[in-house]
Amino acid sequence: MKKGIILSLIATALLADGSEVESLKKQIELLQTQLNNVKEKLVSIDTKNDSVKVLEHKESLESLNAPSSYKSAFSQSSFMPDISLVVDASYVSRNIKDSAIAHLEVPGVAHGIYGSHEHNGMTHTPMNANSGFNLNYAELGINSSVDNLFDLSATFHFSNSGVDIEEAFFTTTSLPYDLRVKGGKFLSDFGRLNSQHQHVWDFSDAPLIYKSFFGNHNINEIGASAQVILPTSFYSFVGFEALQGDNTSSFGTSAIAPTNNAEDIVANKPSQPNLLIGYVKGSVDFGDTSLLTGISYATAKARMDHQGDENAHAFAGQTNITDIELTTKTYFDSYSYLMFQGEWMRREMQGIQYAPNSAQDAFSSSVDLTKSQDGYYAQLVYAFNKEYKVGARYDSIYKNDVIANGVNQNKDSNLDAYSFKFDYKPSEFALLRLQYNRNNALFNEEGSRQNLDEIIFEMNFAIGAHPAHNF
Amino acid sequence: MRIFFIVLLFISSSFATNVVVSYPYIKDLVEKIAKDKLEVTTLSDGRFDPHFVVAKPSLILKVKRADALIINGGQLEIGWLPALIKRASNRKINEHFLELSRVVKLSEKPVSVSRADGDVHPDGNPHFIFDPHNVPALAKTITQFLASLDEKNSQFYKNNLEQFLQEWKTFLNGYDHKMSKLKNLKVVQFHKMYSDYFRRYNIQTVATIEPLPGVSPSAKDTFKLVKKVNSEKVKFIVLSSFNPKKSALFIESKTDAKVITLPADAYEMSLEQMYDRMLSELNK
Repeated sequence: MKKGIILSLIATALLADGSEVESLKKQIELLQTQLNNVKEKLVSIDTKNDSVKVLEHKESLESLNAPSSYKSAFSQSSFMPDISLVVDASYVSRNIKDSAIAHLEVPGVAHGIYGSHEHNGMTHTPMNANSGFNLNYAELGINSSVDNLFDLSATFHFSNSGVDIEEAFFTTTSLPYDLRVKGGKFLSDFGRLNSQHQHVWDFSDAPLIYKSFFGNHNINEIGASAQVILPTSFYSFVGFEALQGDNTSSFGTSAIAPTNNAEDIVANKPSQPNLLIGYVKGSVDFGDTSLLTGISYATAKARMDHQGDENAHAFAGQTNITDIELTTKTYFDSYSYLMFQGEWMRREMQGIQYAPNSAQDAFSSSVDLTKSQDGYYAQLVYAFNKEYKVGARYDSIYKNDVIANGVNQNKDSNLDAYSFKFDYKPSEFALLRLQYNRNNALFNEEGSRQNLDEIIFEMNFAIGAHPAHNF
Repeated sequence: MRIFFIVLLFISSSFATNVVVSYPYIKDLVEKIAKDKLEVTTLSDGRFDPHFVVAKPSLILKVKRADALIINGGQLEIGWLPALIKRASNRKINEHFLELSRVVKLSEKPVSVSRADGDVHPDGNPHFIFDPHNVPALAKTITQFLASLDEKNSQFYKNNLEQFLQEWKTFLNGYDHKMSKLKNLKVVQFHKMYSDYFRRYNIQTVATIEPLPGVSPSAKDTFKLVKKVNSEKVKFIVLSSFNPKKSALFIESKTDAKVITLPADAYEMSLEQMYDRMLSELNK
C-alpha cells in the first residue's frame, strides 16, 4: 500500500515538470511523516491491548489461587456469630449508708434487696449496690443460627463477683404450627418486665414487686418453654414453661434441715422441674396506639433456707404468683411516643416456717404460715424525640397479710416507692440516665421505717451487633 | 366456646397466598406484577422512619401469616424486623425470602465501617428505591420470585412484567426529560436518603443536616451549615416527611434555600406518584 502510493507519486513526479517536482517532494515527505505517525499509533495500541490481556490473565490467576495457604483454605470467619457487648456503670448517691442499707427489709415480703450480700461464701452484688461508682456488668451476647432447625443465643454476665451465664438457650425455628420451643437457661416470659434485659428497662432498677418476689435477677432459670401463636384475628399467644425453680426469693429447691444437722430433714427437696409457669397474652392496635396485655401464673414448691441470714429461718411450702400486665404505647411520629406500663402481682405462700435454735442443730419452732401479698407498679414514659425521654414510676405493695398459726401478724401494708428519670441517648448505642428513687417500703431491724432517697446516674454502652428493638 | 374458636379459625385462615413485604413501595411493585392473584401485606405503612419502624406486636401476626417475605435489605430493616421474625417463628419464610438489595449495586459502600462515623450501613446506601432506574431490575427479580412461589400463575406474572417494563420505559423517558432541567442543582439533605436519586439526575448534595448518619444535629452543626448553604448557593433543603423540621427551618430563615419535603415511601400512592411528587417538590 505504502509502496504503491510512493511509486505512483514518483511516476507523477517524473511526468511533471521541474517546478512541480519540488512541491511534490515536500508532499511526499509530509505523507511519509503522517504514515510513520499512524504506524507508531498502531504499535502502541497493540502493546496496550497486550498489557490489558496480561493483566486480566494475572487477575484471574490470582482469584483462582485466592486461598494461598491451608489456613485460609479452612478459614471459617464468615460463620462468625453476631457478637455484642453491653457495659453498664453507674454513680449512686443515697441518704442511707451502704453498711446499713443491706440490712433493711420490706417487712414480711423480702430481706436485703439493696447492697452486697455474703451468701454461701460468695458476694452477691446486685445492680447499683454501692455508693459512688459501680461497674454493674459487662454483658457479652452471642447468637446465631445453628442449622436450619435451631437458633442459639447466649448472654454472659460479667461482673466483679464473677461470670454468670445469664442466658444460654436454643430456640426452634421450623416446628409445625409455628410452635416455638426454647431450652437452656433463659429469662422467663412471665409478666412484662421479666424477659427484658436490664439495658432495655425504662428505669435503672426493677420495680419493688420484682425485687421483692424474685430478687435481683428476675425469674432466670434452667428449663424449657413452648409458645404458640393463637389463631385469633389479633396477635395473641400462649406459653408454658417448666423450670428448675431454684430462685430462693419465692421458690427454692433445697431440702430443709437445720444447718448443723443436715440429716434431720423436715422438708424434702422437691422434684424438679419445680416451677411451672403459664401465660396468655394479646395485643391490639387502635391507630397509632398499641396495647399489649396478658396474664401469667407461676406455681412451685417453696424451699427457702435463710438460716444464714440475720433473721434466721427456713420455709417449706407452696408459692403461687399471678401477674396481670398492661402496656400501651402511642406514637406521635417516628421517634416521639407516650408509653404506659403496669403490672399487678399477687403472691400467695402457704407452708411451715422453721426457726433454728442457737446451736443451729435443731428447729426450735415451727409455725403454720400463710402470706397473701398484692402489689403493682405503674409507669409513664414520654419520648420527646430520638434523644430525650422522661419517665415516672409508682410502686406499691398495698396488701401484706402474713398469718402465723391463724394469727394475723399485722405487717405494714402501706409500702410504696416512686421514681423519676431523665434519659439522654446521643445514639442508638449509648444511654445516659439520671434517676431519682424515693422508697418508703424499707424498715430496719428495730422495725422502724427508713425512707430511702437515691440518685442513680447510669451509663450504658453497646458495641457490636445491632440490637433489634422489641415492642 | 367451641363456636367462638371456630369463628376465630375462620377469620384467621385465608386462602390466597400471602406475600408480606417490609415497605409500601414493595407492595406496589408486587401488585404491579401479581395484580389480584396474591394477597400482599405491608409491615411498615411508610409514614415513619424506615430505619425505626415500630415493632408492634400486631406485626408479629402479619409475619406469622406470611407465605413469603420480601424485604428491602441492605440492613435497612435491621433495627426492627429481626425481632418480629424471631417471635413469629414462621418456617415458610425461611424458604420463601427475597432481599431486593441483592440485585442492586448499592452506592456509597464504605471501605471500612466504624460507629464513630455514625449509624452507617456497611453494605452501602439502602435507599436505592428513589432511583427510578432501579425499578426494572427490582420488578424482574420480584417476578422471578413470584413465579417460583406460585408456579401455576408464572406465565401471568411474566406477561405482566413485560407490560410493566414497557410502561415504565415510557414513564422514565418522560421523567428523565423533566429531571434533566434540574441538572447541577445544589441541595442539602437531612439524611442520605435521596442520594441515589440526586446522583442519577446530576443534582449535587452539598451536605447533610445530620453531622453523621443517625446522629441529630447540634446548634453548632446547624450554624456551620448556614454558612455552607450561603457560600454554595444551595437551592433546597430536602427533608423526608418524618424528619424533624427545626434545623431545616432555621437554615431556611438564614439563607435563600427553601425547605422541601419528599415522600419517605410510596405511602398511599403508587411508585409513579411517588416520583412525580418528588419532581413537583423540586420544581417549587
